[in-house]
Amino acid sequence: MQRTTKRARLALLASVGVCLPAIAIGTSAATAAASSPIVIRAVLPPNTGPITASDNAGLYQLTKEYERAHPGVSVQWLPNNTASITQANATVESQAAGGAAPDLVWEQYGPVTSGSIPAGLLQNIKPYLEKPNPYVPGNKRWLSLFPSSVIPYMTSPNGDIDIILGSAVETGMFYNKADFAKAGIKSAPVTWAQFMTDLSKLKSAGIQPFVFADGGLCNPSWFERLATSSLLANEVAKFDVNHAQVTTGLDDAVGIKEGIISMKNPRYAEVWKILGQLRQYNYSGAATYDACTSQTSTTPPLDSQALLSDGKVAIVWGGSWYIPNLNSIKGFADKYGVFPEPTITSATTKYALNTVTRGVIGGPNGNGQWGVTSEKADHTMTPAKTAVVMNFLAWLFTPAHNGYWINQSQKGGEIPILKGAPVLNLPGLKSLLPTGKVPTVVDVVLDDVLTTAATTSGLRLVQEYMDGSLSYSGFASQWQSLLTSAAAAWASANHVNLSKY
Amino acid sequence: MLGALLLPSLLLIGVFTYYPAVRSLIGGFYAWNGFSPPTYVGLAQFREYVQSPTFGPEVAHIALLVVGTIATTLVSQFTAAEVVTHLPSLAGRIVKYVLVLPIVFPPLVLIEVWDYLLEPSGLIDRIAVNLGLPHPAWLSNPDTALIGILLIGFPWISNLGFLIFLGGLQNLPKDITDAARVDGTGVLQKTFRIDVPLLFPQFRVVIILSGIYAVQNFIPILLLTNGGPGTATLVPGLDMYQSAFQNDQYGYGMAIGTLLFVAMLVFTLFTMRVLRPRTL
Repeated sequence: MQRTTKRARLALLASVGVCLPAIAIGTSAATAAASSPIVIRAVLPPNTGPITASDNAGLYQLTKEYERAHPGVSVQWLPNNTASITQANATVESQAAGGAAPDLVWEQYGPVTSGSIPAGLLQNIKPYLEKPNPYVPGNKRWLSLFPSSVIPYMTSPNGDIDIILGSAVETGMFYNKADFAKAGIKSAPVTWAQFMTDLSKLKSAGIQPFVFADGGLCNPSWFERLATSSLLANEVAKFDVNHAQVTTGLDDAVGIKEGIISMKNPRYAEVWKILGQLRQYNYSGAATYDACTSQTSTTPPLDSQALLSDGKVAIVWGGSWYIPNLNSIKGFADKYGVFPEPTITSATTKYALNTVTRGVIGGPNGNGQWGVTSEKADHTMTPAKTAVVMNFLAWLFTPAHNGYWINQSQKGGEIPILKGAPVLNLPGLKSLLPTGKVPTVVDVVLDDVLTTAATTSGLRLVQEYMDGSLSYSGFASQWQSLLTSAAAAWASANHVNLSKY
Repeated sequence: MLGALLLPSLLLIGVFTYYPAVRSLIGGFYAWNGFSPPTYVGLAQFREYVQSPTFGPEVAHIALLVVGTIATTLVSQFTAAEVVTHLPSLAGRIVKYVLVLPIVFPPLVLIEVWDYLLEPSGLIDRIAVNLGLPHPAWLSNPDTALIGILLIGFPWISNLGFLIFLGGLQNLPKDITDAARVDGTGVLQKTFRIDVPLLFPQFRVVIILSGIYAVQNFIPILLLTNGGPGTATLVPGLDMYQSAFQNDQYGYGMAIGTLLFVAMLVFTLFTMRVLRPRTL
């Protein structure tokens, strides 16, 4: 009996013994970390591979130079394989829940300034941006390096800046020239009515006209932004309480409460009726494709630009990052053209305001943007470390460096943001750039402005509407219910009393 | 006292299996975005899920997948086990290895292969076009997407169930099988009158495992359709995953998880009761 008790004690000691070294290792690691060089953990732009990949060559080079100049600092770049900003944010929020988020996280302005990301996850970096960028000789205020049109995109409704923006993209329709010629289309459409006529001509010529790639959020959210911004342009002032360039969660919630963003408002309902007209021209496997997914994606959503280059559809809706990709396909560079999203005019609907929407979808929402996590989200993020992280960002965000890494990353498909940054002149890109003032951008459900759950449900509804399993009335009723619940959820999550507005 | 040696294992299982499970049962009663402090909401999230517009379709889809998976598993794996048992020794051994080997392939490879087969202009599509047959966009057509998901793994033999049936068939009481042979029982008669009744315990295990597998295995759906188009392939497991890890509704996700656990418990108890061994 005594022997067995001894054995049990030994076993217990053995099991405790297994745990002790682990604890000891953890403690010594923590002690070592305190005295070791600062390691900045930063998330790479999505789907660019590891830091050594060619897409990241510019960042890699600049990082090495920074580390050489700052022997006490090293940067650990983390690959980012997320398919969308919602997925990226879900990852960050899970990490932040345990205080283990990276120091620099890839972000997009929509979820950051709208209040979709939990408050307190990112730091307000405005105080740093108000100071000179030490790597730009003579600079007195880092923020002055950003174009004035971009700063509103970075600024949250409370005036904080929780995101730094490094690159812009533009979107447009990419078309197969031979298909247009075969269908007798002589020039690219300028108005939505001409666009619909051309789709009809393509269909009559036996050509698959178009793909509304709704396997991901890009095409659906672009359409929502385009048509809503266009048709509600004269009503924005009634709910744009934040007066931001892009409507925030608060604006949308107020717009929904006021019945402006409502399926009962014929002007807003028209947005979705116009989308419904595209169904007859849509590719039958559209829900398998996404306009923003990685080119190398082997499981759905697949890259929709392949449908254009493979000759399966005549028009795909894509972005400026398509240009280098399509040009790299042997012999294809001369076979496609690009035109900006057509303007919705009174030839399409009596609610049209002829709003020129060039630049509404595009803007500073490319790959090169980051947020700096708070100490609550990232326990290593002391004020001293924040200063180091911001210093590293200052190094990346000089005009010359900004142009250097963005141009290498996207081969000119994205546009460096800082004033004076070198821009590659890609054929076709100029036609997509805004020519005048961009109207207020109205983002509602599909761009993670209210809640991510609403975005997920919204995409499902759009898919059902586009594949015909939901009629317009079924869609309208469910969309209205989604709007109402999303506004309530946003108000609850952000502790806002909507009755005050 | 040797039981004390189990302590480290029990500790690890407790920490990594039971604690998260119990935590998730409790978590369903709290609204939590994963970052801000959780708020007690009682049964609200359970109610919200059951009243959500996707609940009905999700239940219908998972019921179809459970029934489909059990049916295909039982038919294909039992049939394959019967065939292998009746083959000459060497051929039987070779066929057995050939059928079992794919079990070691990573499931992701299988999903990728089926993605290639089912995607627009995939192999099945191209064959259908060449034969002049209709060629639906399997995974992006709401009418065929769930069938596409069920097709994954066809002919559904290479699985644990096959080995369970084969083991059962190889260990049937020899006196009964010999008596059947002497009585001149035909193959079909032997299968349905002797093998199936004697393999009831195996059928019970395979049905329960297949049912649980169908509910838990939402990975092909996540990778191939993400629950779409629309809600055409949305199932509770995927909704739970997306709610928690995509929509930051961890409490809501845990509420779905708890309801799934209860549903699977009921299914298992029901199956065990219906297929319990009976004395004649």
